[in-house]
Amino acid sequence: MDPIIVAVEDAGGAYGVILPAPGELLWGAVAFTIVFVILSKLAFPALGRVLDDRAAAIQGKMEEADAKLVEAEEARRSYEASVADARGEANRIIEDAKVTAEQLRADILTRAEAEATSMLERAQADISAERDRALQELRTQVGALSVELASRIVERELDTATHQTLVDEYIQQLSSQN
Amino acid sequence: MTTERTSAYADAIVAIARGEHALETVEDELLAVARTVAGNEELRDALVDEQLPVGQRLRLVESQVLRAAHPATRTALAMIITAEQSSHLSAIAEAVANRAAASRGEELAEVYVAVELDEPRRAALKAALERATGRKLDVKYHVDESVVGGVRAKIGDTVIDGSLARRLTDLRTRAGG
Repeated sequence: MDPIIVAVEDAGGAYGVILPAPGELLWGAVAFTIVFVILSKLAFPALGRVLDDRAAAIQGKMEEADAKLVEAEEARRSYEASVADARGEANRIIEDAKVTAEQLRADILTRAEAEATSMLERAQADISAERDRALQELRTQVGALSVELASRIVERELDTATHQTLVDEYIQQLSSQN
Repeated sequence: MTTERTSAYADAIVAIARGEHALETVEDELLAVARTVAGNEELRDALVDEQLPVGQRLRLVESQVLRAAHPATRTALAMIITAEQSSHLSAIAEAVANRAAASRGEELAEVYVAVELDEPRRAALKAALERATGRKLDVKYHVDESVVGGVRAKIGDTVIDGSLARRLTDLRTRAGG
């Protein structure tokens, strides 16, 4: 037989094992009350203060943390606002730069086109003037050469009879003027 | 161009020529020498070069060419050269000829032709010039190849140019223009 069941049976059955004896129960209750009173008077207030202080400290920490959180949130918002402003400013600068660059490009293009047109016109005028000058010079040279050639032929071909004819013509012209 | 100095030399030469009774000869010879010198650059430069000794320049007067000239002509040339007036030889010769012509009641006319003219043409030309100017002229003829052909006449400040040289020059000017 199991030893435990034997002990229970020895103590008066199963009920005797679970429930203490009435005197023991009475003394236990008195002792509990005494301890409870002592603790209530001495330990529980101190423990309550410690717990209150701790709760207050925790609450303070939590409030501080909340304040820090709010501050951090404000800082974050401020930062984000600054970033947004900076981004907007950067975009504006970029847009301005694009507009300026476009105007500059258009101006440079216009000036380059105007200058190219002017250079072309000047070159055409120069070419035209040079061509006219060359043609004029050519005409002059051809004329001078022709006259020079004619002069040499005239000087070589003039014989006595022609000289006399020329003198006779001169005399006739003088006479015809009167 | 006649200046006071040129006139003085011309008067002196006319006086010498008259003294020798050779005014017509002297004016002809002096004018011929002046035209020859004017047409010969080398001779002209030698006569007006004051760096050359006068004796060397006077060799022209004693040259074979002028040996046949009248002594009064050679005297006049020597005077002009010695007085450093060679650069005015043409002007002096013209002034002498003008005075000689004036003394005969005529005006000097210098006629430049390319070849010698026969006597009938000279007479016809003189008559034509006198009719054209209305004056009695003392015509001096010069053969000048630069005329090329035809006639160029100079009467005082008037030039009647019918030369081929002038026509060719006109042609050159028109061709060059």
